[in-house]
Amino acid sequence: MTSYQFNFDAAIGAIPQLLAGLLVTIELSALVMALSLPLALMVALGRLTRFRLARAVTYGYTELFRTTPLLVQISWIYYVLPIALNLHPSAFVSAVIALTLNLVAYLAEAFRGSIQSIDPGQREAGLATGMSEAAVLRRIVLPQAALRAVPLVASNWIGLFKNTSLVAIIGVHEMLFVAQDVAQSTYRPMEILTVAALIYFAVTFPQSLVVNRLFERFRVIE
Amino acid sequence: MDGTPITAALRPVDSEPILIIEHLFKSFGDRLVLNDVSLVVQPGEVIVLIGPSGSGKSTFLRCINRLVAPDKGRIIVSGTDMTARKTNLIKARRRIGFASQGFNLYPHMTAVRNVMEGPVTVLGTPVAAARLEAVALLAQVGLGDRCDSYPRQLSGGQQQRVAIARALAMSPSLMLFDEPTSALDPELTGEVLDSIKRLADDGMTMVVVSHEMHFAKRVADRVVMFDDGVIVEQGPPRQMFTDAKEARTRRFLDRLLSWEFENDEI
Repeated sequence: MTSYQFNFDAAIGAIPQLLAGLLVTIELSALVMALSLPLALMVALGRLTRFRLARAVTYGYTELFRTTPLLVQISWIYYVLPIALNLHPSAFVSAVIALTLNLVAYLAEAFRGSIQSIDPGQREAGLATGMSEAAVLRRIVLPQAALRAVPLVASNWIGLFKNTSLVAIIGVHEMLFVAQDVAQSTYRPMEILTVAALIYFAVTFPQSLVVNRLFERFRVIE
Repeated sequence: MDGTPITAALRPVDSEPILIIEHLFKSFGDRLVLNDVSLVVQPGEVIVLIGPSGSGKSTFLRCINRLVAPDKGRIIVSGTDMTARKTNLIKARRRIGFASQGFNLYPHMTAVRNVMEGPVTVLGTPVAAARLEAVALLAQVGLGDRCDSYPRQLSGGQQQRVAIARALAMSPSLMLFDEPTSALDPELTGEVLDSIKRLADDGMTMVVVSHEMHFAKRVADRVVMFDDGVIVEQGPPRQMFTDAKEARTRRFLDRLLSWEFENDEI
């Protein structure tokens, strides 16, 4: 039995390209998160409003995007949307749209949970002093809910960071795409994918430690 | 302002009642919580509501500032019909102070910010003026030195006194207290009841749900007994505690007083 001979020369030579791909991964993640935070807040409020239509629409949206695979969403938006709407966004823009729609669905649920976890007595106290519902939300509920959402946002960030690798399928030049590209031309897929995985780990693990700290730091003390 | 002669303030008996409640009904599901309750409160009067838990006292109190919407009946506070469709409830609530058993201070704000929040956000009072007023109110409830403490740094009794100051910051014409001391350790109830008593001495009109019988005896003008969604009877505390007409009231008071007595012995 001949065993596979590992040779990391090609993989190590590809590191600068992989890091360029990592930069795209980071850009993509940051852009998607920046777009998602305000949108997710709006969706969360839509889920909690007394307006039935807004509740139904936001409910349908969050469920749709949390019950279908992200890979399907990415492909659908890249291949079907252009035909349906006669728009032709680039792969990068399609990736941003798909990842954002997906992340907003999850973040909205996290925000909704944070908002609902605030003691109803807080709202009661605000209303009793003559505040409007909007003022109660802005001054009393959201500042408290935001703190509780911090660790949830952070862990969604890590999920997003890894999920960006899925947009390789539509040809966005993020790190996984670069790795596959180099693998094909050098015939060293095992080594290159191993190095790519190590880079993901090296970048994500410290962030994961930060998330754990955040969960500790923002632990709810009632 | 409304054409009432100034001397009216000197004759509280002749003046308009601050609170008029007529034939109030409220159900939660198929449970009838308020079953035709009526009550009139004169300016400066202190009403203490007593009765078994689940008798409708808290719901009744929350109907007055419309945190709970009654099914039927009328509630008029200082001439404003709280049950009329056209009434702006958000505005009407400004003049009705409320303190509940849970304190519900805003945990992300210091004591003084808690007190300032209403005037600044609701009334648009300038921050500096609101702060001055808030500091004075905190001093009035004995917390002049705790202005910059966060709620979690305060004892339950201190938190409840901040909550009272917060309500007073809106210059209410009526104060509602929902079991203000029931969540407190026994040694902390005194400081809160003292603050409430001082308010009463200053002439504040109040409706207080409380099981503190000593407090009711000293402060109440009228004790109102609730049971099963109705007002069973009412009267001055002395009469209610020594000579209640209704068996239900006597039974309730006996249980409460014997319990208090046993606890005094320990």
